[in-house]
Formats: sequence, structure tokens, C-alpha cells
Amino acid sequence: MTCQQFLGALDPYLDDELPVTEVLDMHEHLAVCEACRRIIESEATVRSLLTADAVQDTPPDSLRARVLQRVGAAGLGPRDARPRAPWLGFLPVGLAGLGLMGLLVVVAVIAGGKGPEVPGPLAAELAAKHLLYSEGPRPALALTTADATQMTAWLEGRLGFSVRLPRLSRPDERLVGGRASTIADVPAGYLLYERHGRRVSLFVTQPLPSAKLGWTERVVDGVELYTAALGGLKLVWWEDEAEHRLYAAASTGGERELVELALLCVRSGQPSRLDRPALPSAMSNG
Amino acid sequence: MEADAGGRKLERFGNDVLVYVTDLYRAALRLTGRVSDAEDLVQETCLRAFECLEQLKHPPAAKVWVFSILRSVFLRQAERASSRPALVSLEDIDASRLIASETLQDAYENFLPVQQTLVDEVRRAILKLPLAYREAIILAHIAGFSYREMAQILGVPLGTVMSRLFRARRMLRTSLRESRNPSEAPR
Repeated sequence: MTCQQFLGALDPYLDDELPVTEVLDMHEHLAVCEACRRIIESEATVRSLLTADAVQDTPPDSLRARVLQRVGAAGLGPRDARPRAPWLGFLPVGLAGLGLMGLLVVVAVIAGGKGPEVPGPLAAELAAKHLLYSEGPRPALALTTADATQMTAWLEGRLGFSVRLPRLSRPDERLVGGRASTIADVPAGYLLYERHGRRVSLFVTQPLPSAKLGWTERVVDGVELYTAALGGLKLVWWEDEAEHRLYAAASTGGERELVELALLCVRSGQPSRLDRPALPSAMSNG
Repeated sequence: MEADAGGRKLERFGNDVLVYVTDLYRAALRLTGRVSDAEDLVQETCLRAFECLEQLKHPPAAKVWVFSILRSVFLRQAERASSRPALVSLEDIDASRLIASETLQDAYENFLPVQQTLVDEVRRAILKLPLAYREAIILAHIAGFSYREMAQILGVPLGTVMSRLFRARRMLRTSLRESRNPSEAPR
């Protein structure tokens, strides 16, 4: 890849719109080109400023109440002239071109793995995305923050569902940041942590059919966990049945470390709630 | 029976639309530049979304759908107001297929550190952008939409989304650079 090709693909790269194989080409170029590295750092700074600006404002509490009041009033009687809003077809959020075959190839190439494991599709996708987001010159995050509350609010705004982040207490562990992603084409939140000097990825999505394929079931302290190894990576996932969520973690560290993170997450109490104010009683009961 | 339907509709509105009120407000604030106008815009958007909620057939598409409504309401309000928003000409926008040399030249010419830029300056720089470019920045960075979703909301091809974003970021960089180094502003 030349500098010209690199710069031509810079925007889609930073916007997470490049197929994974081209992302790897970009990483290869970055590894050898100081000038492009400096450019990408400058670009990434502009983007992080935009994200920092984006999360600054919160609507006043009274705004939701006013919306509900107006909507409640509208719901009590039909309006004469109904405004028309454009209907737009749905296209799922996702990384373009991130096909399963590509992921498996990428994982095998990066991890240099010819291990005995036969990973299921979920393991392959988690491993590929762990490498994609956490490795490279700088982690591919949309929001860099150690503030779990800010991170949770930002993610929930993008995903439309609540997430539960682990409560960290040790000095050598911290949240680095996160981004929106997908797992099996389903919207997912991605969080990057540093624990004991290692980068650990945490994914949050909704339960997936056939997730158990290729995983080993374990029960630790009453928590049902599914573990797998792929190349040099350890992976674990678990479900929060009450909230209907699937959580998964990946790291180059040991399985024990991931299990510890899973238990921290499970025991972190109730997930933060999305802003869903109580509906006016007259309407909520019909 | 009718009351049950109303309750269900309101519950659906809460789940599919109201969850995005923070993102809608942030976008509205950067579109209008004023808190009171942003609040009005969000209220009107939500009301319209509620009224035509039955058009939302696929709940995962709710965010794209409600942002399309926000944009439509904003453009209508802007049209009604005497002062028109700073629209760029169609020629400027849609002669906008990027060529490789443009991206290369841009990267080197505009490569100046912006690390010291304050977030407030970023806000001001966004508000100064012409509407077509401001929309692109808002949808990508405030609301977190993909190129494809932005193309749906704006009703333009994917390539136009990419070129608008590219130019919007270039304008932002220039504006931020000038705000840090006024002497470099074009005379």
C-alpha cells in the first residue's frame, strides 16, 4: 500500500467502514510509515475532540416530561392533519465486508494459529474484533474514557439497550474506552480494558442462537460460563438472562483472568437503566 | 380496546423513540445553535414520530427513522423562518467525488497539531459549518451513524456522504487551526 492509497482510505478506516482485510493493509502500512502515522494521529485527535464535544450536553429532565405531555395530549385525540414522515428501509448496522470466512482467515494469520481448537463462528468473530480494535498503533475506539458512567451512557445511546460494566477496584485495572460494533450482525457494545498490563476486550450484545457451538461449558461460583481458546487468545462468554444480554471477553491473558472479569461483571449489581421515564398513568394503562 | 391500543403505542414510543432523546437533543443543539430552539425541535420531532409510529415497521431502524424526522422538521422550520440556513450550492456538494490527489494534498497541507484545541472551539467550529457539512458531522459524530445510515437519512448516495464528511472535517481542521493561530486566517 502506498501513502496515497493509505490517505485515500483514511476516513473510512477511522470511521470503521473498511473491510477487515483492508484494515490489515492499513496497519501494515502504518507499521512502516512514520509520516502516515503522524497524519493518522492528528486525524484521530480531531475525531476524539468531536466525540468529547458530543457527550457534553444532556437534555434537561423537563424535556422528556414535556415530550410525554405533548405526546400524551396527541394520543388522547387524533389530529386532523397527520404529518408525513419518510419511511426508510432498514439496513443493519455493521462492518461492511466482515464475512465469517474473512474473519477466520484473519484470526489464523494474526494469531499464527494452527492450534487444536475448532472455533465456532462466535469465537472467530470475537477474536478477530479483539485484535482489530485493541491491537495496532492505537486502539480503534470511538470514545476514550475511564469514566464508566459516561461510557455506559454513550453506549446505551448508540445501542438502544442497557449494559452492565464491571466495577473495577484494583489500581492496575482501568477502562480505556469503547465503541459501537456488531456481533453476528447484531448491534454490540465494545469496551477495552487494561488489566494487569494486558488489554482485555468486553463485548455486550443480545443472546445469539448457536452461540455455544465450539465452546466449553463451565460453572464458576454458580455462574455458567463458556470458554474457548483461539491462537494465543482466551475467550469467555456468559449470559445475563434477566436482562437478556450476552457478554463476552477476550484477552491474551489467562482464562482465570477472564473468568475473574466475568464474575466482576455479573456481580456489578443492576445495569444502568436507559432513560425511560414513567409514562403518564392515564396512557400507560390504556 | 382503544385505550389499550393507545397504551401500547405509548409504550412502543418510549422503547423505540424516547430512548434516543439525548442524541436527538445533542444533534438539535448543533443544528440550531440554541438551547431553546433545540428543545422545540426535539419536541416537535417526537410528536411527529408518535403520530406516525405505525410507519415504523422494524424497530431496529428506529434511530435512523427518528433522525430522518428530526432533519425533515428542522429543514421545514428553517424554510419557514426568514433567515435561511447557510446551505452550500449543489455544485459545491455534488461535484464532490474525491480524487486521490485531493486527499493527499489535504492531509499534508492541513497536518497541523490540534491537540490543544478546546472542546468549546470544536462546538463553535461545527456551528460555523454550512448546513450540508454540519449535518454530516452531526450524524457521524454526534449520533454515531454509519455511512449507509447517513445516506438513508440524507437521501444521497454513499459517495456523497463520504465526500461531505471529508470536506466537513477539512473545514473543521482549518477553522480550528485558525482559531488557534489567527494570523494564519486567509486575508
